[in-house]
Amino acid sequence: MILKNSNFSEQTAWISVVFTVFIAVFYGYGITQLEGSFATHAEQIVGLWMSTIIASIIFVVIAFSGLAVIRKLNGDDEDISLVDERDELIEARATRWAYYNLSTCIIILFVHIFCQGVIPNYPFFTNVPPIDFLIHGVMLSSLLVEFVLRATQLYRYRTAA
Amino acid sequence: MTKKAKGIISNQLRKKRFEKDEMTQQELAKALGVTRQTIAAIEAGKYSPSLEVAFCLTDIFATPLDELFQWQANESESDKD
Repeated sequence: MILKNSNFSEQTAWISVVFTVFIAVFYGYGITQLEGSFATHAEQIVGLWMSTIIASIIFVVIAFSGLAVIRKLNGDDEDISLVDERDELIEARATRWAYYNLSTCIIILFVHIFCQGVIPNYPFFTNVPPIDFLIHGVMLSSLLVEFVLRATQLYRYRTAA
Repeated sequence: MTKKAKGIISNQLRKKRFEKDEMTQQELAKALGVTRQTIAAIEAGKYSPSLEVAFCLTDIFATPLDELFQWQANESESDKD
């Protein structure tokens, strides 16, 4: 029903939201299975990245194939390349929120690493080396930024532009 | 005295569509080069189109802009010294 009453930009936003949640769960589970740190077990982390990329490709192929079938069943012959002024406005507003989110994530990452280096008995993530925290933090932050971007778009599409 | 652009924009788009041979939202969207959902959002008052789209609408319906769109200023916001 939601897909039927939405244009292609909104439909891809729905897919992106589900995609980011799926990949975050996949990657988060992968992190819990890692043994050792990046310095000693770099190949495991590279393997996790590779498996995440493969999972992403499989998800995207399945999702967009499903979307194509749904659009065909609904008789939706709208030009999928059509992006109008409302789509652009919604994307611009969503990008602003995503930018705030990205800035916050980067500040948190670097403040944490700085504090870990200079404060004795710093209580957070004491068993995670700074480089590992940075690597996983950047990956999860990028997923969070994408989620915020698409979720904001969907909110705007569903309420008002 | 300051004028803040706060108010409600209403429109007669749906009425004009029906007056024009019961034109569908999809047909109007195609004529304007926007999506059907954008037409639906304009009609529902959820989205105010750009001036370009508004003037295209006046062309399509052959009607003045102020017959298509009406502006009702929010009195509590509009006039403040």
